[in-house]
Amino acid sequence: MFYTADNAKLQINGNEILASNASISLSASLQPNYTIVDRSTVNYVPSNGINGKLDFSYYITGRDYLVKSFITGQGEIPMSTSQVMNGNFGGLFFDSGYLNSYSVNFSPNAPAIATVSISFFDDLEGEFHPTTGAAPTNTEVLNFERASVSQGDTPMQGEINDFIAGTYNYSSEVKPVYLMGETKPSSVSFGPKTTNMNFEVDSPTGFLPVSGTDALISVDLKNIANVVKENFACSGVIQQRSLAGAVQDYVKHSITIVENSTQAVSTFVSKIIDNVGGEGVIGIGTTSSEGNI
Amino acid sequence: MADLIFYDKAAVKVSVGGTSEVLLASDCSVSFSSSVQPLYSIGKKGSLGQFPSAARVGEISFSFLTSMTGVHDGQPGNIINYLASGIKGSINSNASGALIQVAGLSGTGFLNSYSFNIASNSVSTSSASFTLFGSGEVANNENLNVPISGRLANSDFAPFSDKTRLATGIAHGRFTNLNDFRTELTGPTSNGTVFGADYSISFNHNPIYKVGQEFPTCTYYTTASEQMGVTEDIFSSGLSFSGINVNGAAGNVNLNVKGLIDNSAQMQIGMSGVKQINTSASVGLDDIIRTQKTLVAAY
Repeated sequence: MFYTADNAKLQINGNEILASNASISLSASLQPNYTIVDRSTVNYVPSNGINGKLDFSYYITGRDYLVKSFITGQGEIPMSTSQVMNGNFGGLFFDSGYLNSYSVNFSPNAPAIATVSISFFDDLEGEFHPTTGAAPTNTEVLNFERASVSQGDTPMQGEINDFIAGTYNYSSEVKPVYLMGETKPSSVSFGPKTTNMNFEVDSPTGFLPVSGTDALISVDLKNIANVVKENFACSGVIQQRSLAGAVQDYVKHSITIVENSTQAVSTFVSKIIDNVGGEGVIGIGTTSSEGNI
Repeated sequence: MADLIFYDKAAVKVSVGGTSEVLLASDCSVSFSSSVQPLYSIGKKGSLGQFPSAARVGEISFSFLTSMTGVHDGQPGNIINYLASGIKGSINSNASGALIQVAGLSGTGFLNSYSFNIASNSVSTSSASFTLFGSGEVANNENLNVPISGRLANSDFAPFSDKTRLATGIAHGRFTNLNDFRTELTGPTSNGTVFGADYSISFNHNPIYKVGQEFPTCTYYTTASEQMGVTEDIFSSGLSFSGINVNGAAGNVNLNVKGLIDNSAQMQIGMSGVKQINTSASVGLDDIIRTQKTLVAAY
């Protein structure tokens, strides 16, 4: 039996995601089990747990803070079950997911789309149950035509006036911690979190001190009523600068800001709607010592 | 009901810098398009809606009699030829475009292509095509910088109407000499007879879009490619691997177009670095074998 993509809803922590695509992969770590006198074997033994990955891209509407809220919260405050992401794809679900990476391309006049990767450490449970339903009406997908890009209080070297296009990338190392007898980890250890923002700008310059240079770029995404509905910011140091020229093109100048901290400035959360339509605290990062972020 | 605009009230006016000209256009088309695409979500039937994915762009193209009634930079010709010559000879990249007005509609466009033909005993016709990107930011409720603005109305300008000058000021094959482009063979000597030529040039422009505004912050001219097809009666099999230089290694040659009078007034297209890259022959019933060679230049 085959189904179309219309039949498979994607849900994260019970919230439907307006995803343009999604893929799930599962891999078992198996090794061949040789005995001393054998050159071949038909026996395999597991050497590690299941390694699962959910990748999807979703339209940024300004009402879907859930996934992004894990950037600031996950692994930052005392561990609790609320840090765990559960996912459901057409009825197949996992309940031990962790945000691995989150990225957005800032392209002029393009719809805002985020690309997310979630790691989980168990096989999928449940059965595939196709669903049918019409697309929601009155959905507004934010567009970079209505974005505004700003620098910090101290403008970056080189008098930047124009921000052409860029990317926002977040990644976090997530490693499962298995106790004896476990095939599904009872906890995970979070490695370093890195946020970087790459932006193509005007005014080519080669200024790059050995210790980097402080920089902040903040991108506000506005809706049709010019209300800021989403924000991506990176406050760190410029670690990379590149210049390039090609035939029939202008000289491109890009800077890369790297931030190894995910402070509240990186996330803009005005309201979270839960899966029953009410305002609520969903996911981690919505309540913390820093307040309601 | 909207006012009906007849073609005699839809003259095409082109302005470049501080000069302008109303062309003898025989047709004109204007299009304005926005790029919206439906977005779909998995798990849902139907589209979420249609959303923009690129900036609005306009196109204006028109055909016109190859007039030489204007004088630009001291040279007889029309403003499109003047614009094309200026762009291809430019060493600057920042392009400002030309203002095009027709029947109440207007916009600033960048010349995409320009072509004309010259044939024996025929009036020359030209065609030009512009792409309009708009520019800069558009404030709320303002559309000053959109690619195309205005509404259909009678043009309040008229084409050049000096009948005396028009009688001789339209490019024509009668007195246009294309011998500089003929094929000349040696041993034994044989010189081609040129029956006609088709000239065209296309320009590449690169608009720079940035996040936060629809229209480009600036537009750059990058490259141009020029082509001329010459119809004659000699087939040269001596085409070389690197092409044939036309008029020496520098390949500098002028295409001089005259009107219906054999005087010194001529519209000039200066071509440089010209190479012949193709030669062909064809024949049909009741006709001689005609050959065509293709000359190209790049800027």
